[in-house]
Amino acid sequence: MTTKTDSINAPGLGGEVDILEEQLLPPVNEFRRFVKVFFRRKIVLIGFIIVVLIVAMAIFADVIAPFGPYEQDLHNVLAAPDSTHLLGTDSLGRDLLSRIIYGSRVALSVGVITVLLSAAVGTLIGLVAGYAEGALQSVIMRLTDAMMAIPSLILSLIVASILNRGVLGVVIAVAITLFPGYIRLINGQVLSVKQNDYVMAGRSMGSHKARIMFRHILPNCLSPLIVQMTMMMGVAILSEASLSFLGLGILPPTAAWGGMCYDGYKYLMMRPLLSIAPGLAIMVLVFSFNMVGDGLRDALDPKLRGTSSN
Amino acid sequence: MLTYIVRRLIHAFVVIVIVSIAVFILIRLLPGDPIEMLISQTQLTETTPEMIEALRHDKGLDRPLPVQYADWFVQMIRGDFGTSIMRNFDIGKEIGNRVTVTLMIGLSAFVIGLVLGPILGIVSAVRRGKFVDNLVTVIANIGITAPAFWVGILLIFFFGVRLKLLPIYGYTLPWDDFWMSFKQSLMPIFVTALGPIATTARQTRSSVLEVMSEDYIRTAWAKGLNERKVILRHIIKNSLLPVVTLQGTMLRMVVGGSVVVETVFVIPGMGKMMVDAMLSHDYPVVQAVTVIMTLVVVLSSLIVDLLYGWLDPRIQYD
Repeated sequence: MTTKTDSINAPGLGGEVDILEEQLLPPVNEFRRFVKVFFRRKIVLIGFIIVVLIVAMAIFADVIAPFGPYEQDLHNVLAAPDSTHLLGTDSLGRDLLSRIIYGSRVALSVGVITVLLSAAVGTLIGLVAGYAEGALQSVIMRLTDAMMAIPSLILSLIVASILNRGVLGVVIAVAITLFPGYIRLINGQVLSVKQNDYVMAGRSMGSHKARIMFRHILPNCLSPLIVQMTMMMGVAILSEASLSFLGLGILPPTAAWGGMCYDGYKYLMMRPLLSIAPGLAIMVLVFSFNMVGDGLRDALDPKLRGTSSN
Repeated sequence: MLTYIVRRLIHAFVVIVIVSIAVFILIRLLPGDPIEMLISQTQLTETTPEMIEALRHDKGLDRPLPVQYADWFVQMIRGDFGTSIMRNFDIGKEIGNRVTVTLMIGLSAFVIGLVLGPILGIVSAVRRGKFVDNLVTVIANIGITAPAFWVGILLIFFFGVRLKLLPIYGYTLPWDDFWMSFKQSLMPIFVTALGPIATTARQTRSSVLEVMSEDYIRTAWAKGLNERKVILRHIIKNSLLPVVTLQGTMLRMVVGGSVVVETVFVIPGMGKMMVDAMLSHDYPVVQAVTVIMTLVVVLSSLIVDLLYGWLDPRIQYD
């Protein structure tokens, strides 16, 4: 802000002011500052590395996994861990480690698609509600309240049983519980960002509503949106796992960690690893995403304080 | 204050109506015709289309949807939840029986979370950076990120299968056999409470840390109050407000979590009823359970709001 007023007040001295400014405030590389704050905490770095590793694991599952996810060895059913099957085999003789590796594909794809879908829908509705205000806003917010009053797992269960049990069905079932959160977040953000002078300026210049919403307001809501999206990755992955565990999510034989926990649960006495290992995978992935979200919040929040008007 | 309560009550009622309509419509979209399932279950050897129609008429499923909805909603307000299509039991009575089980576990877990969460958060914040703080942070992170069913399975494995200390499934009401009930409830209550404890502890910790940097806390130290007084009178009192608002979410977590916990531990509560009804397409049961669960959540968040106003006099009711 100060730079602009200075140069306006002293139009002829523009160059000098710039030099002065540079001496007073050494240029901060935004990206480097972001990286520095983001990785300041060791646990965030660890979380970030684990996320990268699991993403790589999902992409290169065909190369890494010692066996296929559906490869059955009926002579070697419920085998104990050994050198060929590092974590043993399940009730159909499928290699547990390979199925966990392939399971990362379901977890990540459901997580990413769910978060993108719910964020897109929620942001759009939130923008409209916050910009419109009045009756439209109260109707949208009351409906949002109602959506958020239903325990999310219950709502997912109902929606999941309406849709077919593929990745898409589960994605919609989970996304429907997440998008009201974005509506609330963006609605609140819009209400405060709207007070800024540049929105007023845009309006007085006769900019189209959509242009003000997407070019002026939305970019200033991005920081909290990104943080929320990262945090919701974990929630989405956990919800998918719960649905699959209850038998209303991704159906077998597809390797999904939640469903694998349920299958393995029957053999808890004999082969505890069958249900414990996939659950551990869920926890590690969700934990890592939450750490990344924490780091992002630390790195993005100070900037947020600078831009919002209150 | 009174107008505020009335307005919040109307608001709560509107939410319930919207939810009930949404659930009613959603349930009608479920695949599978309950009448056909009922017929295949009763194994009637010969079914004529007339018999199917008669049965459909008998269950009231041949009327227009708005009529079915209005009828259901009015009956529900009178406390009549109809009968299960599949097993012909009175849903109201069945919920009455099962709600006790779910409430016993849910309320215990909620209260434990309400007490333990803030205590852990306060201790953690006051001893910031020390061993206790790190321990609480790790536990809180596990509580938030570990899937509830997995924690349940782990507990069953260690305390039930390995150590043989606790029964691994089922539920007994405390007034039937207190000791058995206690042993059976320990693990489910812990699993249900873990999420609320973790979330509340984290929220309390950051809220206490924020309050600790306020000017009036420095003043309290400066005027020579002892540590106990500063923490109890000044820090805790001011940092618990954001924690109270969180309790609505916690209740939602406990109520929704009952579905998973009751499935893992085979407990005959509302959550198990929900999953069973869902797998057998028992419309009226799913409808009733969802509305009851939502009602619990809406009413409790109303209580939380009022409590919040009572704790923080700065909030205006107008």
